[in-house]
Formats: sequence, C-alpha cells, structure tokens
Amino acid sequence: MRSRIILSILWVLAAASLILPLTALTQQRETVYGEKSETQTEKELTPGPGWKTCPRCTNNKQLAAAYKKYQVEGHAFDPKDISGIWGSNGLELDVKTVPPFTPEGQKMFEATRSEIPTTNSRDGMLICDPLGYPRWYAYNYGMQFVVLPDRVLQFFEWGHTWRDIWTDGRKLPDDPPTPRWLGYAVGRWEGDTFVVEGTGYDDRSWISEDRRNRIRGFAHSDKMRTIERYHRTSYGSLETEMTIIDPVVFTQPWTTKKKVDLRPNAELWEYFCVPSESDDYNRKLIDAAKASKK
Amino acid sequence: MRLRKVFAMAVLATLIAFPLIVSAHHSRAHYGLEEQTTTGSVVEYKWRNPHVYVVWEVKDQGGKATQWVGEMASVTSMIADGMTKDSLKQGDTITVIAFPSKNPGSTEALIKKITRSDGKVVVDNSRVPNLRQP
Repeated sequence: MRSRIILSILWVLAAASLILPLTALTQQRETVYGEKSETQTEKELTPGPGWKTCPRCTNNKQLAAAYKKYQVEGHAFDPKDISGIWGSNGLELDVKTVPPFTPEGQKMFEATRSEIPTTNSRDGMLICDPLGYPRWYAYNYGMQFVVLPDRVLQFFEWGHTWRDIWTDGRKLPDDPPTPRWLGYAVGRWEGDTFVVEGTGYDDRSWISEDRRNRIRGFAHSDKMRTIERYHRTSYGSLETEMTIIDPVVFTQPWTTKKKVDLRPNAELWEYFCVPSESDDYNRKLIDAAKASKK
Repeated sequence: MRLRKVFAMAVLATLIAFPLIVSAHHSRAHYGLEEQTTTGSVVEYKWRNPHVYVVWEVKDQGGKATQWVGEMASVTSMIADGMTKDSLKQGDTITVIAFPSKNPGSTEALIKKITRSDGKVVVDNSRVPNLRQP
C-alpha cells in the first residue's frame, strides 16, 4: 500500500516535471520572440514607390498579404526555373543528423569551443571573416537565384555577395589552384532537379555555428565536398537538400533536407559585415560579457 | 513484482530528470529571465548591424545616473518588428522593459519593449533570442 502511494506521487511529479518546463518555455518564447507584437504592422517598409522591402524586413502578417497580392498559390511556374528570392534567414543545417566525428573531426570541433559561455568568441563572423560555404547557405538573410545561360548566380543578402554555379559543362577542378571561401561549383539538371557539386573550400570557415548551445562551430577540412539538390515543386516552394562530405571530419555524409518559401514581395537589400561596426558592437556587448568572466 | 516496481521507479526518475536536460538547451546566453522596467533618457540610438542598440540613462532617487545598453536584433529584423531609423532620438524619454544580463554589475540588457513618453510604442516583444543570430 505504502509503495503504491509513493508510486502515485512519483507519477504526479513526473507528469508535472514534463508539463511545467514546456509551459515555461512556451511562455518564454511568446514573451521574448515576439509572436504577439503591437508594433508589427501589415504595412511593409520600402525605400519608396516601385521599390520592394527586404526578405528579413518582412513579418508573418506582411508575408501572408504578399502571397495574396502576388497570387502565389496556384501560380504557373517552370520547374526548371529556380529564379527568385528564397527565404529570409538561410537553410539551417539539421543538427539532429550530424554524423559521428572521426577522431580528427572531434579534435577540430573541440578547438572551436568558445572561451566564454555567452557567445562564440572564436567565431570568425565576429570579426567579419567571410562566412564561406555552406555556412552562407545555412545563414544568409535571403538567397536569390539568377539563371544565366552559362551559370546560375546564387546571391546572399548577408555579406552582399554571390557564388557562381557553372552550368556550361565544365568539370570541378581535381586540384584547385587555391582554396576559396565559396569554393568551386558546377551545376546540372537531373530531370526537374538542379544538382550542384562544390569543392575547393577554404578550411578557415565553419560549416555552421552549432546552434545547440552556440559555443562551438562545425569545422571542416579542405577535403570537404558538397552536393546540393534544388527542386521547385510550386511557384512559391523550393525543396532543398544539402549533403556535406568530409572524410577528415565525419564518418558519414551529413544531409539536411528542407523546404524554402519564395519571397515575392522582397528584393535583396544590403548587409555588409563592417569591421568598424562589429568592433563597436563587440566592445559594447561581447567584451563586457568576456570581462565579467575573468 | 518487486522487479517491476524497481523498473517503474527507474522510469519515473528518468522522466523527472528529462526536462531538466532538455531545458538546458534553451538557455539564452547571459541575459536573465527577469524583466526590469526603467524610465530614462536616450543617450544614443545606434541603427546599425550586427545589432541595433540603444543607450539610455536612468537616474535613481539620489540623482545618481546609470547608463544602460539595450540590445535588439539586426536592422532588417527590427524593421519587421516595426522600428525605423527615426524611432528614437537623443534626449527622448523612454520607458524600457528589458531582460538585464545575469553578470554582476553589468548594465546590459535585452530589449523587450520601448515606449516613448508620448505613449508611442516603439518596439514591442523584440524577438532577440541570442546575441548574434536573431
């Protein structure tokens, strides 16, 4: 009888311990992340008549209105035309599918560990190093494909830069003359899917920040290769797949599948990482956090 | 029977511990979860990347002034939240609801809501989840 009472109490505690933190998290999210905001308006901010807003300037109300205005639902499309602005933040990599590290990969991952727990002090982004690829795929404030006869241009608002994906039949270099932050990329069509292969990446960049606790980044070697697949399934929707192959770091390929939405109301604005602005920000808000830990 | 009870207790103990493990992944860096409301005067409004910030001065009852630095998100994220480059200017009196840093003695905070003295809400429920990538 006594053990039954203890068991009952434990069940109640278990239920409460599962429900209460979830409730607290939900409240925290609503409070801090601003899903309810009296200042988020339906009116978009643009530079003037004829100009458009930017992907990341658009809140959910404005995006819903834009989808109606531009008649995105049911709009005619050519699956072999991936032109347009896609998303507003990048295609974050799936950390749930990160493959096991090799011993060397584990060491490289640990070497990225921040000196402080509040932000990643070793992140090159803090000093405006180029994000490199595929980090620019994962984090970009909006990505635009422009299709030309001999290449597809992939533009990113963050850093205001672009990547050339050559479609003129050339092969990837076996031994690139120099590593590049954005590597070397060639593309081809497999049915309605645009397949991009990349190589020759500069190993100073990270694949991505590790968003699980934001104190490390996923490092890669100069042997990393990438394979991307893009499939436009409707006028407003692009299915994407990113596979990262780096035998120095991972025991298996790392694949992330996503879907990204068209931003019909937007054009890419300008986001440069400006060293003087970053210095100011780091001094005021990052160094203060570091100092408090010394 | 006894084994079943031990098993049940072990399952329950795991269930009780589980949310503590999950919650640890949702930490918001060095900002606390306690809201603080202050009223003061805008010293600086920096409409810049990587993150917009405001510096405001608060005077206590003895007249001692403290300058707070309030962090928001990138310029474009703040546009989505309804702010513009003209939302604040030096000398504006503002009431700020923010989450101060947990670091002792720090005067940094994560902005939640700013209201001007004319009643205009400048930003409400800023969605800054972390320092660098809103």
